[in-house]
Amino acid sequence: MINNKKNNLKGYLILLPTLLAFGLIIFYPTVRAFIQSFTNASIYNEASFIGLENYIKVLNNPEFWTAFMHTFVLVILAVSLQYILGMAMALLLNEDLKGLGWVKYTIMIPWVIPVASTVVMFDWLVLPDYGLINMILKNIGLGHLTRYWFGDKNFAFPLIVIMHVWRNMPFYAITLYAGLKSIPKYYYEAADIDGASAWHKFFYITLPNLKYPSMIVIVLHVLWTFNNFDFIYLSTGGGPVGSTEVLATQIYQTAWNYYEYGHASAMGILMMLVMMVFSIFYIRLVRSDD
Amino acid sequence: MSIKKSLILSLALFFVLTLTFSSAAEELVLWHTSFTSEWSGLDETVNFFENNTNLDVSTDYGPPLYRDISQQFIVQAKTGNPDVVEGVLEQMFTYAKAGLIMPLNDFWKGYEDKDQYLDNVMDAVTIDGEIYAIPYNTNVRLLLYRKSIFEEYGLEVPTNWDELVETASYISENVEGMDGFMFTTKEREVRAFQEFMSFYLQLNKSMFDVSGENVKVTATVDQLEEVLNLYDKMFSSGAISMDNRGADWKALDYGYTSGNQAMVTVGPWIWSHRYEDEARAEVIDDTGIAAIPVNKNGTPGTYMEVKPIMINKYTDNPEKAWNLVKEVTNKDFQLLVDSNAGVLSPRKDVMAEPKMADNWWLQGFSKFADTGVALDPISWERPQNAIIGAIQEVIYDEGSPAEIAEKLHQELSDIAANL
Repeated sequence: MINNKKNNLKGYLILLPTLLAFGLIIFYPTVRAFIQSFTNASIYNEASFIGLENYIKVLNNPEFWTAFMHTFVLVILAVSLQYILGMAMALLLNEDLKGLGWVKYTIMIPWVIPVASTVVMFDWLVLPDYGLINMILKNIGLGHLTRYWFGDKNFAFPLIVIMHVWRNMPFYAITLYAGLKSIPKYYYEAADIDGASAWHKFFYITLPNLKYPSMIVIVLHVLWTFNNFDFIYLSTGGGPVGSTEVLATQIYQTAWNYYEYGHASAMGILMMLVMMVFSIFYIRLVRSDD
Repeated sequence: MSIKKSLILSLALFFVLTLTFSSAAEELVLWHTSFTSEWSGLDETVNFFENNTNLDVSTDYGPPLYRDISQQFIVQAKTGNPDVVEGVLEQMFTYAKAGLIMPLNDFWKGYEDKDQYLDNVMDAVTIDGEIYAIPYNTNVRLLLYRKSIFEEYGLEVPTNWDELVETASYISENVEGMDGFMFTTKEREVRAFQEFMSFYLQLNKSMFDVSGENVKVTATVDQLEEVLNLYDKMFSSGAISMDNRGADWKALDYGYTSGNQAMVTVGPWIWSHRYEDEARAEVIDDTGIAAIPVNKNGTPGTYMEVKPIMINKYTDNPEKAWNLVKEVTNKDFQLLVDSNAGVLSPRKDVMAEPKMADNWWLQGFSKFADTGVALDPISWERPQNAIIGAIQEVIYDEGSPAEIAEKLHQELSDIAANL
């Protein structure tokens, strides 16, 4: 009995630094932002309580809804493409094809390159006169197609999706590849004996057994993409003409260009609520399958 | 290790760290991009300062980007750290309004070098009679053009907006691989705003009237329309390639020094490109400097940039901080930094030095320094975004310049009402 209590105490003591750090880094700022969202806090004045005014202002702002839609579309497109391509890459890696061994060691390179460097790299690629893409287009006789791709209303958003996919797809591939390695081979052998086709094996063995790794990468990337700021801020700044504006860049602008901390906090809290609803819904969905 | 021992060790570490930081608190802290950002004079600047200062100054000179300096300064200024901060003029207006920087009038009165400073530059750092900073460099945006192209095609340097459009279109049409002109038009790109103002300030030397209790817009719809029309003509006539819509400063600075444009409106900083490679150095050497073409209804005027050095209002050591400000704005320091950066000094004694007076580039800019107009002392973030938004709407054909000017004027009025 006494030993149990001692062990419990030890357990709590071991957890204490993590809980303190968690409270300091996550819980305190969240509570602070929540309280601030009901005030008119800004760089220029002391905060005073204004009730739901910030929330009403945010929800009545059409620019907020445009940014919300862009964020939503970005998440759907980027996460779907990343998952599909990541899965394809993981299946290829799992085939142990000759000559592709080096891919396993280099595949994570895009993921470890800092986002800022990725954006600078893409920006240089698409610059109007001396960007590589435009130079290639000119040299193959397609000079009429050259443009500053980040400055084109029709291409800026797809290019941002491509940047997300380029960077994150390897993370999906490696995670799913690790999941594939843990599926017992005899599942497939039994399916072969039953005469199952490759598609049947994929849908009835591979996919169900990748449920948990899939859940982890999808939840993580939905959250990261929904909150993602740097890709857009550094590449297009939300333009041209607001065509790539997302919630994260709008919150940044409100907080750091306009210094309206109360207003920005309300936007942040709304974003957090959306993400919480998604996370709870998705995790329950996966659990209900069990 | 037992829990008891771990706790004792943690406490000991805590005390050591506390003591370390409390002793470090005696040092002055200076945040200055000349000491941190990547530029050709970085090492020389740091060495010069550290070898010559008599003050105890931390060798951590803060973030290298103005944006990061501004954010961090706003967050932590009330802790008293940093004691002295460098920035851009627009940030100074924001800090002053937020009460984060100290008026320097009392120090200025007794400052032995005060007569060396140009009046128009000091006016730029003065709000309601209070001096909030000492400037260490200044520049104006002017028209840079490729002399060899103008000679080869028998072109005259444009002096008004119509000639600018005409000449730039001619070059785009007739010179292989070269655009006549370039504007920066990326969303939230501060350079886009500064270029707009370089033309607008010819029509009106102010955009907001801050003299009364409430801020009012002084810009008229016609004036805004006139400038937006210029953007429209530049892109629609082919003077600026449509490929360059939404491009940022890189496409302009590197574009010009790569030989992609014949004319640009920039400040003297582009001089530093000559150190990157020979081809860029050749372009710089082939560059002519002229006043920005003037609107037929306007008078010479251009955006004036001033780099201020400010004192944190919450510093524990105002006197020492002032001494530090004097050190990083004194004659020798400004001569070193400004000559290396190829920018103008706000000090007359520095500009009279042979290193500055014999430099054709600096003299080219210095000749038009008096046409520089400082921005009105307000927080510019919202007007800036509204203006860039209007530029984008014009060049992406979201409406006519007249409609967009009307909308911009309304937006500026709404912003003014809340300033």
